[in-house]
Amino acid sequence: MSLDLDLLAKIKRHEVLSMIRTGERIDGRDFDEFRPIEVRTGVISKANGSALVRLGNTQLVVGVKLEVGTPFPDTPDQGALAVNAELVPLADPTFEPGPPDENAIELSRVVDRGIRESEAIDLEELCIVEGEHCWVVFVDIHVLDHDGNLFDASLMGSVAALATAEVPEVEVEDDEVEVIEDETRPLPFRDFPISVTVAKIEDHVLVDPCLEEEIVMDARMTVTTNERGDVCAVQKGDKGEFPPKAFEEALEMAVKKSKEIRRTVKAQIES
Amino acid sequence: MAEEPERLIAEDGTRLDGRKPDELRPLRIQAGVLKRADGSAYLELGSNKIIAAVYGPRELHPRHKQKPDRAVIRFRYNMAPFSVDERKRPGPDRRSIEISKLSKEALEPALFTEYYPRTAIDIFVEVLQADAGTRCAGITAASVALADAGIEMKDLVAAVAAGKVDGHIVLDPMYYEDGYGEADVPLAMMPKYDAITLLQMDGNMTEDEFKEAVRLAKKGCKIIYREQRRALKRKYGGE
Amino acid sequence: MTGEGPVPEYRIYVEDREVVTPGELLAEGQVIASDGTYREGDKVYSKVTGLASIEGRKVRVIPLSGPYVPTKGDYVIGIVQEVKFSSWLLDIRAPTPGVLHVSEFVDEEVDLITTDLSEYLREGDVVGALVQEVDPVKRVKLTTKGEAMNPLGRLKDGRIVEIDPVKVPRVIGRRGSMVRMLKDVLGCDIFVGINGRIFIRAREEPREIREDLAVRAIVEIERRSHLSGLTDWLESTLKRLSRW
Repeated sequence: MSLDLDLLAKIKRHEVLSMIRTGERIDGRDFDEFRPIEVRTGVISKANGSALVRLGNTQLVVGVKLEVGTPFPDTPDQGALAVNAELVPLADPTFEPGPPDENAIELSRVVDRGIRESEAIDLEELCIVEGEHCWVVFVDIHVLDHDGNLFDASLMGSVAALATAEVPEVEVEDDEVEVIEDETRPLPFRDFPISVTVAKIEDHVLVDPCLEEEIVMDARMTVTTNERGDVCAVQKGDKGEFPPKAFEEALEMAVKKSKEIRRTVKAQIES
Repeated sequence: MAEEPERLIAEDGTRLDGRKPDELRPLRIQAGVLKRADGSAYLELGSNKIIAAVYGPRELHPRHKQKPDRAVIRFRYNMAPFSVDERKRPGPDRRSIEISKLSKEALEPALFTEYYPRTAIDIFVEVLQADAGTRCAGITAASVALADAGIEMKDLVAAVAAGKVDGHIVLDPMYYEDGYGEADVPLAMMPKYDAITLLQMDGNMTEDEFKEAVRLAKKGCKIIYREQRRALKRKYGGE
Repeated sequence: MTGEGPVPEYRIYVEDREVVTPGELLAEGQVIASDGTYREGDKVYSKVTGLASIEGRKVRVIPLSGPYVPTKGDYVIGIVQEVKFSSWLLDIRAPTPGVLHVSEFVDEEVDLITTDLSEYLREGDVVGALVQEVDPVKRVKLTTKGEAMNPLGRLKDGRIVEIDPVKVPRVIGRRGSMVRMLKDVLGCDIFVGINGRIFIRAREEPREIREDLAVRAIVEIERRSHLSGLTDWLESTLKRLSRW
């Protein structure tokens, strides 16, 4: 019943390409247009922060969990961040059960760099006792429906979950950390990284590729910017190349678009 | 788990969350919530949040695993790391492997597997938030997802647990009741046949109490069954 | 038929066109239990989620989702997924692939020892075929020989659209009216496989645009739950076409 991807690519390729050549996308969007974005925070009460993201038909849940742990030796005065993505087989007929594969690991690392390099979390605020105890922030991305552009959806979800996360208060006595679950403070979140993924298909570049476009794209570039608009993480992926013109167009498109997407996600969190 | 409440059931039989002994937690089922899957369902029971997806019948690889006369059913129960109080390490553990096996066996009697030789029917259940009774909730959701996928079935399978709490037999134990109660009896059935397809028990009960728990769980399944059918009819425009 | 002998004893519990679910009791007694149903003793139940269809004593359920289930005589559009020694395996969107034996595709004698069958059909090629046989263990045999409404054999120089197989009747329309209108208005050949695969090939220039529009029209038909607005949509599409 489910076609393998090569066969699907064969069927879709002509369709996607012939529309792009005439200046249109398969789902009717403009080249610089995202699919509708829906972000709902606080969906998992067992988590310290959470968000459900719908980007068109792509759906995922991000949960943030805080645990008391030990700081890394090279950053004794800081909390720690761990981003993990699960491409569970529920989300796509080609996803297999098992430990994260290269795609899941790439996804989690790109999201991790966006959060880390924008210094969105004030990790020093998450140190409890220098060199001894700190908060470890687990960001778990759980993909439910894969219809393309997991990168941007995952960062949106992670940022939304972190921006609304609460840190429990602690009491330290005789080097023992006691967590007071009922008393919390907001997680120190001070930036708002957003990524925009641009797909290159033949000579064209377009944002937020849906699955049908991802199947036929030559290459993609994910550009993460911080709130100031500076670039803080970039990932070129897939087998094709970016010639100078496509690279410049893609970068410009991504940076420009990120402002609008950031506004959209923020507005959804606040509402 | 937080401290044990002083008593779980009041003298008049009211439970911590205000329910009567034979009352289910609020239940909500939605069919067809995912685009990519061939069938899917979302379920909330109390604060349990469960999503189930079905892929197939599809060609089973490697070929030597194919059955010439029927479909192979595969079931994977998985908890999201953030679904429980303490972050769960991703990946299967002994508990989830056992649940997956029993859930598959709970659903298989309801399926006309002989109609789909050499194929696999894959059922995936993701627990997004757990609050006691997730294995039963998973089976209930998976059954709706199978019907949504158009798989030919004799009946839907409904599942819920009963338990013994403070000496009372109660339906659908929630978090505290499950944690501090005396016994837990998860049960799945094909309501049309009044036939049990999953039954486990752990704890301590007299034979009569156990029979009463089974009777109560079956009663709960019949209510759940109505909601399953309603969810499917809603999706396909019947309601 | 009626008026002679005792009236057959039966009861039907659902309305025509009612949505039913697996295990739901449909009828009892001397009814004809057809597709989508199963019988246990005197009772007839649904085995799928679908629309009940009652015609006299005949009870069936039209599935509203699910895989394409091949039936003898179906016209399907397959894609070669594997070239074997004496046959091809075609993906026909059924749970398992269809087998097209070389003798059901090639007229002349083929020396299998010296011939690589990919000389005739390679992986990815599109083939219009008939379901010749579904054996008791659901193996599907295909043929490109015989009579069919649509062309049999390899289909070239066109495009393929996929739709939900349960929505195929909607694209075909009442007695083929919908697909006929599309063909005439857009100047395309359109072959509808009952497995939800549709082959489109423009007969005249501008071919790309005609095919584009045909693809979109079909997607539109699949999407819309009612066909009322569709004629309007097609009319505006026609105007758009005339500008080229």
